[in-house]
Amino acid sequence: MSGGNSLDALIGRLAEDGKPVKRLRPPAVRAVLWLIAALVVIAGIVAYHGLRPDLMETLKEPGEMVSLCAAAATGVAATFAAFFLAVPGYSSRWSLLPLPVAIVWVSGLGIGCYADWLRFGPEGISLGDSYDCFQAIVLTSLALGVPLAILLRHASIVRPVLTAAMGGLALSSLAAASLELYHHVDARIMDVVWHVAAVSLVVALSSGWGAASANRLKG
Amino acid sequence: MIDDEVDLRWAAAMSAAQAGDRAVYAGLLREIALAVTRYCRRRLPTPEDADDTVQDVLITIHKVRETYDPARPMRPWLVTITRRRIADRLRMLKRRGTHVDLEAAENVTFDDSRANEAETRLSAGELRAAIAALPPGQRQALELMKLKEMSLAEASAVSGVSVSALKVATHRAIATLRRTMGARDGGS
Repeated sequence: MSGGNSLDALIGRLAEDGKPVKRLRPPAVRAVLWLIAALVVIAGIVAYHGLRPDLMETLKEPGEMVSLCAAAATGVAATFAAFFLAVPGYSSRWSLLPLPVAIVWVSGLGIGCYADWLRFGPEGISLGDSYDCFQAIVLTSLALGVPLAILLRHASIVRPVLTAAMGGLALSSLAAASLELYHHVDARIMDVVWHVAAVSLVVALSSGWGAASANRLKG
Repeated sequence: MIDDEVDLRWAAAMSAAQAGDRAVYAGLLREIALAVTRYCRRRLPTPEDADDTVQDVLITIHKVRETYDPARPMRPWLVTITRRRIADRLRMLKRRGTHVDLEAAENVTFDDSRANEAETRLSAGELRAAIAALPPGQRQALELMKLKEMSLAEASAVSGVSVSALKVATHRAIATLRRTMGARDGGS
């Protein structure tokens, strides 16, 4: 495949195939459009389950409010990061954007868990219905993940794994935030374990998908 | 890789290419191929690897040309794509057992302003004499890397010396030259 002739031939072929293309919208615009679509899907899921009856009561507690807002903010920040990372020419430092709010979110879960431990002791570690949280986060992430994967497909050129990991974080944190609207989350240890497991699974699956799509593109 | 004037010209050409102007697109790809070839040859062990990588870069540009926003500079977009393809090539070479230093490939020249300053103050004859006086290992490393402009991997292949030993030898050669020339300047 080396040599001037083959390069000229390649350039000839590419130019011949140079039909007009629709320029991609700026990453910020695409991120906002996807977030609007995600909001509609989440609204549908919440409407299907119905808002939890004690929602307003719960949100009066600062810890709960912070947890919900931090999860949602992590989702929004990770979405922006993923859309910027997917386009060649933008800095990898975009991946740091969700970090501060993600720390607030995860430490909020941890503090809730610790408070629970102080109140209930080892009995706080119960499996309960925490597995439902895991399922809900994974399923919601899958529903939102398909359109996101299509929109981020260009990332396979530049930073497939990092972009997909950010996409996975966006999906799972938005799913976790929506879960708090229709499902009572205790912040007990097992809840936190299932939350973290679900988020990790979605991020890992997304990263694997990113690496695989990069290999497909090269073929 | 390219200066601001070229960047502006290429941005306009890519905008026309996105609109379907095939002649402008072919011209742009030819210019990009030249610049990317130079860039790749400094970072890959053989000209063949560089040429293959240039073709990969052009194919990638073609596949993702809609991601370029002409309102933004072309250089970061192009460099991101080129680096990615170079990294892929280096990984492939490593899998095949070719000895490459991934970190060194990103940094084949020395950004030592004091060394460069010293060089500009010297006449060519003085520099040749100073290089000739270097220990053989340092002289060879310097000749391959700085005078023949080989990458670390190429210099390693030619000399049979490991990449890390070459890095050390080149740094030491420059340090010795700086000392020698500094002493000479001080004495004159």
